[in-house]
Amino acid sequence: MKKALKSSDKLHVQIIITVWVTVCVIFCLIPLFITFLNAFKSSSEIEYSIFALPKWSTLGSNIKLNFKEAWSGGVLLTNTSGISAYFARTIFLALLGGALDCMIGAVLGYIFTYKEFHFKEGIFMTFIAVMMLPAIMGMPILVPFMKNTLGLADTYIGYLLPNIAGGQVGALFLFRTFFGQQPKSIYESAQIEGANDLQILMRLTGPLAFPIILYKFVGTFGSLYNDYLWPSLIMTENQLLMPQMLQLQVSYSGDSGLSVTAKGAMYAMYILSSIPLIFTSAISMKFFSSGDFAAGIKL
Amino acid sequence: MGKTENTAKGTQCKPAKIVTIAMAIALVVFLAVSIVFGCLLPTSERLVTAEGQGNYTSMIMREDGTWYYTTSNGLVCQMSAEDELIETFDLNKAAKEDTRYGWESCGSAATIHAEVGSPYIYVVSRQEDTYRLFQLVENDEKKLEIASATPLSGKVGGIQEENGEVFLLMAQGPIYRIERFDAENLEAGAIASGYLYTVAPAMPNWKLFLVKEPKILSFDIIDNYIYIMHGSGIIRMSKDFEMNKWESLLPGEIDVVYERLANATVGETTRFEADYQAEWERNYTNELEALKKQAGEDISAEKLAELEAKAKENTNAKEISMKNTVEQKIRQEAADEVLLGSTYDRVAEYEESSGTVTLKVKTAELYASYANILGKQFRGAAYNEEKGCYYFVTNEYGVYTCTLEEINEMIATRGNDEEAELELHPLSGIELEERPSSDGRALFYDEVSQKGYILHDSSDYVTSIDFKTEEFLFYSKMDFDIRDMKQSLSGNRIYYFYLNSNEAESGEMILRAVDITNQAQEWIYRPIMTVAIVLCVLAVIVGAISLGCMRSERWLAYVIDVGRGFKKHWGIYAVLSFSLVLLGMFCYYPAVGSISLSFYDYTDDKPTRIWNNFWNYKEIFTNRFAWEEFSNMFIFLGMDLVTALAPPLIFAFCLTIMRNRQYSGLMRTLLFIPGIIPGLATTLIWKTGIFGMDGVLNTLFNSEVQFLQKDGLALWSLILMGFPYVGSYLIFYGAMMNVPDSYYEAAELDGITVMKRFIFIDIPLIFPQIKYVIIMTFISSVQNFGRIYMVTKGAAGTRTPIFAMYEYIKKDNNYGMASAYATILFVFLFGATVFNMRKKKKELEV
Repeated sequence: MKKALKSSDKLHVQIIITVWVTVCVIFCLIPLFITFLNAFKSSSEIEYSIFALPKWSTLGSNIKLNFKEAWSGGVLLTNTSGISAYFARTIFLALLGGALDCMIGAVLGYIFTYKEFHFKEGIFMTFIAVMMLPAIMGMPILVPFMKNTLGLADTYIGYLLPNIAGGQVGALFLFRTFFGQQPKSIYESAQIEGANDLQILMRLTGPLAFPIILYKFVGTFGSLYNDYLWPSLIMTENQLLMPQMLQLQVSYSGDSGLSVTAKGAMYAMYILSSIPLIFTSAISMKFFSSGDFAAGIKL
Repeated sequence: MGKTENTAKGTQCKPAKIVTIAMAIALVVFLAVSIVFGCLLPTSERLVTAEGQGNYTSMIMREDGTWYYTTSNGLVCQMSAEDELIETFDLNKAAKEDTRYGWESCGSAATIHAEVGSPYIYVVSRQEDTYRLFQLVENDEKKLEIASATPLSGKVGGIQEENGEVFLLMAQGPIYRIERFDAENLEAGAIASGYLYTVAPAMPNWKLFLVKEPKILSFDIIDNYIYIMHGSGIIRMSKDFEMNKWESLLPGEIDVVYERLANATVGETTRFEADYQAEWERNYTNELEALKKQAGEDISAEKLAELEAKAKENTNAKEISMKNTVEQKIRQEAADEVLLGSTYDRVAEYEESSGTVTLKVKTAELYASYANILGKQFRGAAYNEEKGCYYFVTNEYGVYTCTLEEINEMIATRGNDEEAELELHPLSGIELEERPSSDGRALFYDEVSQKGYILHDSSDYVTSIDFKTEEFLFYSKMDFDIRDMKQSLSGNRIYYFYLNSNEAESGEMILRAVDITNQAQEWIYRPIMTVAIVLCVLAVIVGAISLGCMRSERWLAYVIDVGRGFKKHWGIYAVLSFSLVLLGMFCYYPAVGSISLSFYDYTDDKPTRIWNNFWNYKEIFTNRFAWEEFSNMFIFLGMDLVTALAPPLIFAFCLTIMRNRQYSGLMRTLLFIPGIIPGLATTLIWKTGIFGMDGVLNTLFNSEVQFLQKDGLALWSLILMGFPYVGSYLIFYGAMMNVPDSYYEAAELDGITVMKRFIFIDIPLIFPQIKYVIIMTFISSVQNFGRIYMVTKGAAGTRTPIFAMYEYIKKDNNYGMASAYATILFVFLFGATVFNMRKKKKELEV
């Protein structure tokens, strides 16, 4: 907290800012609020009023119905399949992608921090220069390249490889920054003790950097889990969660022309899909809420 | 590296000397290998013939090695065996000058044909619906001239000359017939003719069906029969038409009946108008359905009226084509009536309801004419005279054969057994890589060398098969949309023309000559050449390094140092090369490839890499959405920048000066909670929960506004998504918390107000963070396709370039266009991304 200052401590200033902050936060919470509210209601209740509280008498059955429909489908709308099949696959791929990213990033970060070798700067520049390319730049060629040339469409490896290729650069940056901040003497003393690089990385630098690795892992997991663009282009048979959710939203809300709707199930689906992100948010909150982390951004 | 004393003297490093010499030798060897194999590769050259000829229409090879092609503006061009233009014969000019016929012009030369051993060349001309047959002959000066000519009654599907008689396969509307002419007396007109029919046993009488719209694949005259292979079977007719001696149609006979049918009264109007009205209704319904689908859910009455008006307008715009459809339909009916009516007395009872003729005579053997191939579909056929058998390609991956006897036997038996099926024998060991082309041009056959060329669906590869030995020859890349293909007399060249689908010169035919002497060995020659070239380059590099070592001590020391480094750190290089390969394959190659791809037409169906003269870029800036896309991009960009800066800055400032620490902590914790919902889900909640018909906004204001379907409103609704935009306050909050208190204290002494403090102290001091947010917002806003794709799908005037790019990849599979969009956005974002990269790098160095 800042030191008390006269001008901002005036009562009316404090009242105004408190009201303003509260209003902003309330507005931010509205989408979340209606999601939770409506996940417990039937379609007709939602159509009647989006703000009305769920009817007590049918609450239990509505919850059961909505979440069952959202999870495995076929309860309210017979031709939908729910998110369960896509859920596990997406979490698995996001975990794997996050782990690989961190692993490769840690190794690269270690190499570029502690090792001196020929062409180090040139190679490092090659990694960095990728940032000049906007993420969408390669899509028009990556899709036919994966699909037709490599034949990797609809495979896990085809989904992961481009993600890892791009993700390792971000991880390298983060880890090199962090490793660079650690005192070099730790590394040197371990080397004198006769530890090899793998041992140093696994026993010393890795554990020391555990918070930052966890942060990176959580970040990558979140972005892979949330990604729509790449899975929608490459995974057409073995769909992932986000493209599937868009499809389900269309059928649940009656956009596809079906007269039957399952709007409650749609909100239940959003809640279910949030579960993995509760953990990631909890972890990143630990880092972020103090604001210290963001202050590290220097120009 | 400058010249030092060492350079002049040279070093005494023996290995360097040896390596240099070895590399020099290797360079020479590999260079020689690559040149030799490069020369052995098949060549493909575009034949540039006389300018302004119109499009190619057909080709023939003559037995003296020369060849002819015809063009759409009536030229018959003779080419030498060396592909030099010998002579151009203008059919239009010759016809005009010929006093015998008095034809002003005759349009395009559609088909050319010449039989081996015959002095005549036949050319069919086409001018709208007028067809004429010209018989050309070489005069004493070796120049072509018209020997005789005759008008024809229909479109020509094939010509054969046999023993001084000319057979023409002609289409009259949907029905085909064959006319026979005397080669020496064409002017006399057809001496005999017969329709293509099939006869099927049906109780109690035999039924005769006219074959309608057959997909003709081959037309041969063998002994006393005419064999016609078409899409679903084989038709055999007697050459003298003894089985179907029907009167031919008189010219204009169909027109008379057509007039009668079209003007017959139906209720209060004529038949034509009634039919047209029905056709209009049908089209209108389709249009309306399509528009409704486009507009999406919940159409208000006023919007519906608007759509209906638009559908009406669209339908009226198609007037001509609809009238044509109606006319075509009535004309077919007229043709049926004329044909079947005229044969009524002679052979059969005409059944009006089914349009079939019931034969009076029940002699299957006499009338039988058809062989089934159940479950398959012919796509190409060729007759091999030497072996007396037919070769077929079908909708499957094999090549099939069947002797003439088998066909004849089959046709005879089929009279007794309707279900009998012709047995096709697959050629052993030949399996096609892809299905043969389905447009009726799957097989081109050269009678002299007995080689066949098979085209494939949506592929630019050609399979060659030697039917003499029944062996596979090659499967090589040629071109898409090949319309005609012929092999030169010597057998080492093929000529073909294809429709250029390249957007820049779309619709133009291109004539190519391909040297196929070594085509079968290409698959081994080309890799050898490529490897040799790569080795050449390697030899040059290694040679240059060793030469440097020989000449300079410093070079030598450096190389030794690097070598030792590699040896010592091989593990590091191995790890790095793995990462770099990933980076190259999935980051650099696609990005660089995208730029080059943006100059080609490249789709899933036709992945061509032909320069299309900036067509993609022109299309991007001239299509009807161009203005909408780019103006939307800038509107989104501007609004995103405003919303990414102002609300979070104010919010962060409020939090920093808030005295109640617990409350501010609570607020900050609460703000984390919306972050647990996936981004896509948040977007969808806004779409249905906030903007939907029974969403928050419509409930609050008790209205029924379609926020996401109305032009103009939809765009601002998309911008409103994310209100009150304080989500990214953290970066500013963190920075403001780190501003030293002393600044404020000093200002406090001067009696500064809260507003002034915010503007003059906080904002300037956290300017680096502001700059960072601007750059990141700039990069992400331009690339944000999700909100548009998920919410409006580009409807109601919300398209942006990135959305268009996604649509091109996902929906049209048009990667050329998508690449052009990506390249434009890349150029637009380049400054920002470079800034971002430099910032990150600086961060690392601090």
